[in-house]
Amino acid sequence: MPAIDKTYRYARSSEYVTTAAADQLCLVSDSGAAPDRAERYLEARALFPDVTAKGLRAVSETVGARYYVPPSMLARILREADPVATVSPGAVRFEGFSACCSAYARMDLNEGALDVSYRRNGTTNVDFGPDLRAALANVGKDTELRLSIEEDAVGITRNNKKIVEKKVPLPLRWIKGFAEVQVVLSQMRPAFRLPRVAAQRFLRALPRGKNDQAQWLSLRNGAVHMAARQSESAIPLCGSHRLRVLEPMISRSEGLEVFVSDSTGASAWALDFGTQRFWLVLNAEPWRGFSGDGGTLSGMAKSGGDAVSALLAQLNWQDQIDVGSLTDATGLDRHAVEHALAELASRGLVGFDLSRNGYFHRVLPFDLAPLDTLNPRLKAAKKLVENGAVTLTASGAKVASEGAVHSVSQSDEGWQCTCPWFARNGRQRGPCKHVLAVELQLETQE
Amino acid sequence: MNDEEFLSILTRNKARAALDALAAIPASERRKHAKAVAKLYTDHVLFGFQHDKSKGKKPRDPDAVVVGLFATATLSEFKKLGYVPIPSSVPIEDVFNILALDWAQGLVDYEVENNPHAIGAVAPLWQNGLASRPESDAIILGYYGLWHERWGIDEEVLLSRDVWRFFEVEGSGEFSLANHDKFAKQGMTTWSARLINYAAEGRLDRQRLLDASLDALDRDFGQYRAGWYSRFHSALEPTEAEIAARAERYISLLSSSVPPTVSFALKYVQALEKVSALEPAHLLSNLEPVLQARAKGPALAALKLVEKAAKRDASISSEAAHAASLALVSEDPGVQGKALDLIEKLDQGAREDVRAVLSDYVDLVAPSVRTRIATMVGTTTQQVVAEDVLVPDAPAVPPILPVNSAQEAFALFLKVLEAPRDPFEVERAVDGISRFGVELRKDETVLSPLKKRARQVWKKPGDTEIRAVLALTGLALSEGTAMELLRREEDNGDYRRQTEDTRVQSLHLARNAEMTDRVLAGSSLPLLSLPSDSSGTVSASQLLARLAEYHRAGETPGIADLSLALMRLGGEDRSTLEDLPRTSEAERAVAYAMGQDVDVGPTPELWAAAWCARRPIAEDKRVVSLFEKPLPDCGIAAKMKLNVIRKESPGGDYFWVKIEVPITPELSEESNMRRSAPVQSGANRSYPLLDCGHSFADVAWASLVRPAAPDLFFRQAMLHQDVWQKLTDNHTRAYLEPFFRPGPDVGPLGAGVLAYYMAVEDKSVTSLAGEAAVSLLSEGRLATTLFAEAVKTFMLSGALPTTRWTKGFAAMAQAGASAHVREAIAFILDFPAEQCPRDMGGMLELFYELHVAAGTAPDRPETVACLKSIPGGGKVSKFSSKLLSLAKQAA
Repeated sequence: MPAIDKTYRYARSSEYVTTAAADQLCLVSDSGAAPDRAERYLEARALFPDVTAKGLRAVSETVGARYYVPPSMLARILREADPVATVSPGAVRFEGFSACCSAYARMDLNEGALDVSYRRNGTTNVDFGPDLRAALANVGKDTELRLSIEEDAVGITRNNKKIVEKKVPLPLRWIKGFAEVQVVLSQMRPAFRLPRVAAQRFLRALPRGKNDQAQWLSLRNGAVHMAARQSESAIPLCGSHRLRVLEPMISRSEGLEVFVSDSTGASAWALDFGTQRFWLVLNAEPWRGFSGDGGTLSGMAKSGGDAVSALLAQLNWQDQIDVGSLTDATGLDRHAVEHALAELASRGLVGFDLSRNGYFHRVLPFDLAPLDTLNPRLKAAKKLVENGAVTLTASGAKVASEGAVHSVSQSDEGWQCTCPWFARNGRQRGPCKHVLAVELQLETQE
Repeated sequence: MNDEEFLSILTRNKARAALDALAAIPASERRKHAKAVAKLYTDHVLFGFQHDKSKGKKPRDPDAVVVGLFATATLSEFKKLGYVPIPSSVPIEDVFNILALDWAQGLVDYEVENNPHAIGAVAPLWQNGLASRPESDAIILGYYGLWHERWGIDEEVLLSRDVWRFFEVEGSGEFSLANHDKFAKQGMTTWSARLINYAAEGRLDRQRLLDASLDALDRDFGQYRAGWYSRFHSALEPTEAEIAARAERYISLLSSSVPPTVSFALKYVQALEKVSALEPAHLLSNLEPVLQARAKGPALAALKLVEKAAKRDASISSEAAHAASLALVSEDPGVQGKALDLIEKLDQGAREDVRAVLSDYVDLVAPSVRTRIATMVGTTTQQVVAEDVLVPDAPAVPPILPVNSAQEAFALFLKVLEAPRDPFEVERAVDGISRFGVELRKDETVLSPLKKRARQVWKKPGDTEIRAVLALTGLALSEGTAMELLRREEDNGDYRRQTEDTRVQSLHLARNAEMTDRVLAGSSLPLLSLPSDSSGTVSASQLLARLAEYHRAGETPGIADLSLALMRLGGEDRSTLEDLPRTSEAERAVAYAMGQDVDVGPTPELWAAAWCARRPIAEDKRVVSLFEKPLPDCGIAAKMKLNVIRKESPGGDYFWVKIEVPITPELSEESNMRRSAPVQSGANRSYPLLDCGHSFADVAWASLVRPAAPDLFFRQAMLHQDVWQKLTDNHTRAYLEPFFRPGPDVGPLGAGVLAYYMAVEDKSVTSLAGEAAVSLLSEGRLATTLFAEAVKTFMLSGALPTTRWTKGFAAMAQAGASAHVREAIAFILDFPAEQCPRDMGGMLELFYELHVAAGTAPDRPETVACLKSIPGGGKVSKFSSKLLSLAKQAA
């Protein structure tokens, strides 16, 4: 599997320090993530410390989870995992992505969750080990909890302290999925909302162990009804054990909101704490990574470069990107802006907040340049075009590929192809390489 | 020196002599023979058990070859092997010293990280100064991996350094302290016992061990592995003073995400509470996770702690009431009741804030508690959610629409070739090829994706037989070769033929072969056996219309296709049908199926299918005589009986369920038929139902063979189920598919399938069976008495736990079938006292709660008599009394 070697460089390990005055959560940021060598991102006091602590713990737990491999992989996974923190004018966000690429977690600390004494906009990896997770489990609502995110450059340059280095081969599908999930989020619709006690009951009713059974959930008399067969208005859930991460937090929440993507079967689960919100986004199956969903492949195949560049110039750590303002500022139409935003999301440059139904600016601290060149489907499609394998016809196109000639044709629902990949996935996971090749060819002709 | 001479050093000598001889050869010269040595090792040592004489003489000492590997290979070549062999008769350090190898550190690092079992084998390298010991977590995993028993332990290193890392390194699936101690062989010392001995001998600090084990429990380890640390802590038997000194630690562990750790901490907190060592308010603020525990015991214990804390400090009564309300989230009515008891005891029920909290639970507590909590909140009972009333859905029977273009047919066929789970889609796809195959064959380019893919699937169809059948169909179409020829071409004598003659897919194969032969001959016609609607049946009028098309085209219907169509024939009234043509055998068979009197024979399977289609079913000796001996459903109706038997191991320690469904006329060679019974069997061909296959898709297709008479299919459902098996995609769920389609009323065997499937281990099966039961009961296709009788048969056999049906019934009640569940339990409660299952309490509790929710009471005399006679104490007795009391009040 293609991977990118990512070296996390931390001045020291993050710590949870208990003093007589307050507990201090000192999150150490990755020194490679701050291009201008700024040392500090955040200095704040948690106004709802137990919720914040539980949320951060849940993000870290998701990052350390791999929902479809035996636990013998566990130690290695924990070494690999580090969440991403974004500080912006109105929110602090911690994001993580499971090692299996099927679950994404984000804790949004919005206005009113923190009493901020210092804030600098930016995105960084933060060191987050198992000891820290264990310490956070004991934070109570009366704990005085101070939170800082800083690089601690002192340790690197002046004090000659030992630098904590973690060289991690990050699979490309992991990074790709991290970005891709934002596009999936943008396509979701609200399914239902559960009050706290009903949500608690629902989570308690889930099987304790690993559960890959496909279930369909619907709301009946204010409670969730789980069925083994699909019914109208029911939303799919497979791998319900991934929801267990919500259980320790549920009693503090005001309720649980559920969103679903009808096209992919992915779902988003949001615990609402008023000023804070914890998001868990699950792909349709635990063994299916977001990276393969290919929601933006068509966009990537086309040269939307100008629109993307125009939008990039407008981004400035906004908590909510207003599409209307962007159309005014760039002169692009709404559709072009939305399309370009989706592409920016797939490149890790914006995230999606379902509670605000809009994108926010953040820059994933990974080198995402190889995504375009290493995307297997896109790469294969480009090769087909280069080899002259695409012949456009009146009804669509013929694509000669590996001893077969695939027919690509348009229907009311979109492109369809005669390849096995399309037969298996339909339009659920983006276009196949043959459809992409036809799109590329059409663009060349235009 | 050539390879042969070099290898002779390794094959003729013992390891030590080979080592000395190799030492005399320069390293660069030795390296030249690396490939030959590696081959010698692979052929004669690694796979020595399958020694092939043609590969040369067997080495005298395999260790000599291993030494040869060290003398010639590089570390990366060892890594490629995936396993580093270590000689046992020559010390590893001697090998490195004598051969002057400089990669000892590399080997150590690699082995420690990748094979903790082998740590002891490479330890001499660092013990003799040839490498330094890695200090990663993997070195600790070596202790967990039993190697120390073989290689010995350096106690000084263990006690001074390594032992404390035991409490920091969790381990993995294979290597953990929990695993080590659980699987320690006889004569081995467990790590728990060993550390306790060290502490008793004064070689380890006992206080530090107590603290370290609590530290480990704080570390978020997985439940199974965390269990070792709590057990170890308890095994150290901390004294009262030691417990008191760690009071805060125990309280903090009440928040653990690991339920057994919470129970462990609770035990010590209870001990501390007994000696009043805890500050009440502080204790209260830490009890939340235990009050909300899923298990009843810890939740009740936590409520007691809340009560004691409030008793010691009256000023915290309000907080105590709020804490008690947290336990209302429990699903157990007993816990809910105790929580309310405590709130009332604390005299806090009237407080506005407490009432506000309680109001969140009104709709969610058990019915027996609901009225009480509603009263406390001030809600009238009318406001409490009324019992669900299940409104039966009108069964919809959507028609199965054939595809209407060659492109659609091709796309659908490609789709089902990849995913054939929906049998209706499979049938539409095959029908599509039947009708548009000739058109598709006009352009070979169009078919090229199918040709390529079908060939791939045919070569590797996996365990889904239907994919093999579809692949062969696609291959025949795209290559223009008859399926039979293709099949012969691929039949290389492999016993695992893609489609066994005893399987139901052989019928599918025969039908598709007839169809492709016709298409290759240039004739496009519809499939006779395409179901007309979602019930899976073929309507008589549609079958006749399709036959007319065959007649017009001058085509003779295929025997398999027509037989399948007849087996699928719907049960609608055929009396209005006019006299049908009777020229050919096929026409006579159809006329016979429609109820007309015709000459019978000669093709046995066709006439058996036609006999199955007749209504009403009546024995026909003419059809029976077409077979060598009477066969079930071949002119004479199959009769089946369900036997549920409890089997026990000789000592009675284990028991399991054995299902028998004897059938008459008897199937003498049933065992050879893999538990299958033929629907029809002729001298030359047989259409067996019913080895239905071992994948969801195969079983689902088999469910469409006789949709109007599914008992033989249900028989197979009984025999095929493995009660303990849990699978990600359990194929036996496909046996429940007919219950979700419009169809005939469920008979005793179908009810037996539902009862059995509700009680298996795999929840994906039990939940589906429960949903099927709800749906059938609501449609009136399943009589409650029949269902109850089937459950009772299984329950009273004592072969499966009653709790499984209790859970199933609870789920059914939640899904809206509470009235049916009440009725079913009432029918079940009709057995002699001595047959009462011991774990009946849960079902009685559910019965009670359902009656309370509905405001009803048991009124069936047999039920009341049974409740009166039920022996035993505990829950059984408690809820028998409560139910009898309800009955008395109602009377």
